[in-house]
Amino acid sequence: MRVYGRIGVTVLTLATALVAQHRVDLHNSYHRLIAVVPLAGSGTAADPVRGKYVPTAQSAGPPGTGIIAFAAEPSDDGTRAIVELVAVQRAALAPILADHSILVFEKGVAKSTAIESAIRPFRKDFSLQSFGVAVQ
Amino acid sequence: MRKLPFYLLYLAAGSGLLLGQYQGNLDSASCSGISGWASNGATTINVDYYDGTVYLTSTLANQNTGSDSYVDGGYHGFYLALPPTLMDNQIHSIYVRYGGTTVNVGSDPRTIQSDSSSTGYKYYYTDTLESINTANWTQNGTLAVLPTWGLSATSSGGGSLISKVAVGGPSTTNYEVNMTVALKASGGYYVEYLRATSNALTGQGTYFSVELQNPTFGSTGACTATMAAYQRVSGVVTALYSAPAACHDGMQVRSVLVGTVAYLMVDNNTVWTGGVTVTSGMPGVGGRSMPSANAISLVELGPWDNVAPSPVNAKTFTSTIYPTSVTAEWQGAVDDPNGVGVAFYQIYRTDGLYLYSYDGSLYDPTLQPNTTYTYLVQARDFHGNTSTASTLTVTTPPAGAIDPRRVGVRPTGSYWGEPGSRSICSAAT
Repeated sequence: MRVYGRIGVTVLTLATALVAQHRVDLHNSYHRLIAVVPLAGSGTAADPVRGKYVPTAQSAGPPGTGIIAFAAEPSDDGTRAIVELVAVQRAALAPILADHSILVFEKGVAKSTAIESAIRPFRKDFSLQSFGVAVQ
Repeated sequence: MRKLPFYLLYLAAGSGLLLGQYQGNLDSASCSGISGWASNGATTINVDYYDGTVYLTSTLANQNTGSDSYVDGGYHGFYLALPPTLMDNQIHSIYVRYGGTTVNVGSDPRTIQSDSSSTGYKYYYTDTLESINTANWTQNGTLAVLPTWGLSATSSGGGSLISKVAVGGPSTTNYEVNMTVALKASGGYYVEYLRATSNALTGQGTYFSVELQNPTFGSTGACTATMAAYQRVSGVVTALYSAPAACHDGMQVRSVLVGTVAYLMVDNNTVWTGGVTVTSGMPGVGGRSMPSANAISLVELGPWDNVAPSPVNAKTFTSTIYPTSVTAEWQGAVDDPNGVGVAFYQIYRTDGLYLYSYDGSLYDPTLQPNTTYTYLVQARDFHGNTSTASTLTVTTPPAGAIDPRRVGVRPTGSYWGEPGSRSICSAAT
């Protein structure tokens, strides 16, 4: 009977773990950073103006590698872009996080309030609640 | 006969053994319809809809109905537009069962109260694009119409249709474009235009655009694509957003502009929110490089919904608190009777963390022991209207505490939250 009891405790634990799964927050999935970056691109449909490090269809790597998603907003003076970059592997973000010429925050590490207050000098209405990309 | 120990029954139920590996959830029952997901882990199944014990109808569970409907490598969502017989201003308990069984999808019913005036969100213009009505559209570039199929643009330069129909609703600059795409083959670009000049076409005119790019069917039949957003102002194209997306035949792409903010939904999943600077213009659709088997089969132009959902009832917050995490649930918020629907909940932890919930629950595993946290929970609809915030405060127990603190437990022992939450869609209530 004691064996049954131990088995019971074990299976209860396992079953609870199965039931207690939580849904992924698609706005915070994968590895992400938020940065204020200079602009690139000539402004044509094939070479749109975009933030530095934002891949184009031509420069993107195989699906699921490198930067897989981004969102961007122009700064108030139009000379920079505020970007959120998403990568499956954190290593894809490492060169950007190491770029000391830009303002950059790793999402989930820096506090939202710190990110917002640092970016608002570049875009006064910037809010993380109205900026971002959901990725499954 | 000896009884099976309770914990073995618990395990069997929890792992699906008693239910034939059935799994699923009844996500919502609202003015617009009943939706959720259901799977048996192997094949596409039917689900049966019941009003109490009265059978209503059955549908296949094979749709993309939201972020939780992709299971075991396929879509297992179900959706049923709210049957008119339920729009009688009476309270109905909606059950969904795994097809041909007596097993409910989800543990509890959804309750809905709707009357015939609760029409939900209504588009001001709908076109199946089986012909091009030049009274309603300005055509740019090269387009073709596939009879009984929709709009096609096979050339690399493509074409567009920009609406001439006056924008309905409370604003001429804030509105929605909803495009349904018939995808039978890989490839092509499918475009929505908002605030566009009458000559707008990719790379010309002024516009904000959303593109479904290069849908590709793999060997298993799964489809992946890229969603992207651009604007073209003063002759300059700017890339605003790009992300991978699942795709399927009949998928819907919905774009909304409100002020300087854009909202993009794919099959009712909000996938992007961001800023735009283009200020005025008309809606439209178009495409390029589309395979001849594919088409834009429906375009719907909708007014701005500027009414916020009701706030979350703070009395329905329940939480299970551990030293370093919290799980909370609440009764679903209700959008206004003619509203576009609650999209998700945005949650702000007042020490500086944004979270999002799609199902009326919260899981935050980033807490410290012996600390009080305050969460502000707002319901947000698909047009970005947010309810006033409802406050949830939790205090974590000391490190090493075993028993979670359970708050908000009903007398029955169950929690508030999704099960049994009630949608009131009656103008009379």
